[in-house]
Amino acid sequence: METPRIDVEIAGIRFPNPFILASGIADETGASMVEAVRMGAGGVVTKSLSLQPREGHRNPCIVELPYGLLNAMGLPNPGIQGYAEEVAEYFRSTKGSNPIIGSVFGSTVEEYALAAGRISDMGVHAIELNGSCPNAKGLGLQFGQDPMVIEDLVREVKDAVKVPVFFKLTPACSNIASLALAAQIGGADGVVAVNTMPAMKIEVRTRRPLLTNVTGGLSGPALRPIGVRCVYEIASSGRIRIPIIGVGGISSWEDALEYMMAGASAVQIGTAVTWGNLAVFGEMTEGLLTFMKEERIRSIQDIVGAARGVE
Amino acid sequence: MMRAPGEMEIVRVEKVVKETATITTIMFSPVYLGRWSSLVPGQFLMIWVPGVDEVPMSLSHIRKQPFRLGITVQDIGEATNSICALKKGDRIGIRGPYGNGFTLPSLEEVDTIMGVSGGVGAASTVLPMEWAHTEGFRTVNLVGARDSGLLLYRGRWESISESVHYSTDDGSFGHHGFVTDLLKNELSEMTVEDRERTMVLTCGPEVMLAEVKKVMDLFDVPGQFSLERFMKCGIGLCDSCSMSGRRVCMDGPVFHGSEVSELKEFGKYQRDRSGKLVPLKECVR
Repeated sequence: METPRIDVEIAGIRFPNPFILASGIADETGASMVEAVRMGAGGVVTKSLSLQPREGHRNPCIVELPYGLLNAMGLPNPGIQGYAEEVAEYFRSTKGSNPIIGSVFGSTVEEYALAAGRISDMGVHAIELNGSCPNAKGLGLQFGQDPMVIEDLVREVKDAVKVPVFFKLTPACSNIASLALAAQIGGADGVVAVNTMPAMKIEVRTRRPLLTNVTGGLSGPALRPIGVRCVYEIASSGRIRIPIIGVGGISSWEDALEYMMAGASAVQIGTAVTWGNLAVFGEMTEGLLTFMKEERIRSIQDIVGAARGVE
Repeated sequence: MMRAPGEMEIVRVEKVVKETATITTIMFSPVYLGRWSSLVPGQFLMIWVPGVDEVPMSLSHIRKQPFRLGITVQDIGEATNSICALKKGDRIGIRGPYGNGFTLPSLEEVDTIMGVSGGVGAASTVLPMEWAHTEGFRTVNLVGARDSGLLLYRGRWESISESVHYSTDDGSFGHHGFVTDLLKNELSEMTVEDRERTMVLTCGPEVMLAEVKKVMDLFDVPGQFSLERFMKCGIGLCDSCSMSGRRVCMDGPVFHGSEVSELKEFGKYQRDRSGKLVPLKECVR
C-alpha cells in the first residue's frame, strides 16, 4: 500500500500534516516556531498579539496539576509591530512551507480588526481570533460568549483582511454550536474548538489562590473529553459548513483521531509540547501513518467525522 | 514523552544564612522526595513567595541526610528582596527540579574540570564542581566577583579544589581584574595534551560568559554554560526564556559550548517581559 495521505486543506490552506502548534505555546519567537516545524508541526499559530505590548500577569502564572495545566499568562506579547521580525524570521527559514496563522485579540471590535489587518500585512496565511482567553479582564472571553458579538467581530475582521479567518471558541458556554454558527454567519472560514476552560486552584496552607490572576485556563488531559464533546456537538448540529480545528489536551495520535472522528479537519497541540517536547509532532505523525496503514485508510480526510452518525 | 507534572509543594524555611551583605542562602526540606531522587547539579527550582512573585533559582545546596535543599539569592529586585527577607519558619512554594543540569564527561576522556564562576553565578557552579570532585576529577576553581564582599563559598571551594584562584574587579581580594584573566592564565600554562583533557563549567553574568566563551574557543577547550533569561512558567510553555529557538528552562539552562555558538542572542540580546528583543543588560530581571 502506498503511503497514506495525511495532508489536509482548510479554507484553501494546505497543511502537510494535521498537527498544528497551538497559540501561546512555545511561539514567542520566529526561531521557536521554526523549531516546531523542524520537529514536524504541520503549521503554527503565533502567540496571541495585540496592538500594544503587554507584559502579562506576574508569577505564578501556571499551576501544574496531575490531570492538566492551569495557566494565566495574561496574554503577554510584544505588540503586533514588535512581532514583525518574528514572522519575518519564520518566513526566511521555512519559506512558508508550513502555514503560519496569526492569533490576535483586542479590547474592542475595532482593535481586533486593526490587529488582524496588521498581522495579515506580514503575510500570515490566516487569522485566528482569540475570542475566548479567560485570563485577561476585558479581553477575549467577553467577546466569545455572545453570539451577536461573535458575528459582529468576525464580520468586521473579514472586512479588514483578505486571508481566511478562524474564530477560537470557549468551552465555557451552554451551546457551543450556536457560537460556531454565529462565527459562520459573520463570515468565518473555520472555527477552532476549544480554548482553555476557566478554572482555579487554591493553595490550602497559605489560604490563597495560587495564580496571581486568581483564575486561569485549564488545559491538558482534563480538557480533552470536553473538547471532543464540543467538536462533536458543533459537527453534529447540522448547521455548520465551515471546517473545525480541534484543540484541547491532545498528546498522541489517538487523541488527535478522537477529535478528527468527532469532526475536526485538523488539530492543534499545546500542553503536550510543554509536558513532553516538540518531538510529540514527529511521534504523532509516525503513529498516525502506522495506524492508517494497518487500517488501510488512504487519506486522513476519510477519517473526519467517522464517529458521527453511528450512535 | 510525558513527564510527571511538577505540582507545587509548600515548605517552611528551615535556615537562613547571610552569605554577604546582599546575598542570602535559604534552606528547606521537601517532604515529597520522589521527584528529587534524580536531581542533577545545575537544575533549578521555581520559588514562590506568597503574595509577591515566583522566580527560578538554581540549587546551590543539597544535603542528603536528613534531606535538605538550598538556594543562594542576590537581592537585586522585588522578588529576590522578598526571598532574602525570609525568616526561619516562613512558608514558600517550590516546584521542580527543572532544566537539564550539568553533565560530567568520562574520566577516560577528561581529567580536569575547571569551574569558572562570576558573582552569584557561583550558586550554579558549586554543586557540579563538588560532584566533579567526588567523581575523582582534578578540580580547579576560578571565582570572581565585583569585590571581596561578594565572593561566595570560600570554604566550599577550598575543600574541593586542587587549586582555587580568586579575582575581584576592585582588587579587594585575589587578582585585581576579571575571572577571565585567571582562565587565560590557567589555560596558557597547561600543555596542549592537558588542555585536551580539560572541560570548563561556568556561570555568571552573560558579559562574563561571552568572554569565557572567547577564551575557551581560543584555546579550543570545551565547556558547559549555565544561562539565564527572564522566565515565567519554567516548563517550556510560555517561551519567555526563548533564545534563538531554544528554551532556557527546558533545553537548558546548561548549554554546551557548541550549542552556545548557535545562540545568536548570546551575549547580545535578551527578551523583556512582553517578549520583545532588547539589548542585553547586566542582569536579566
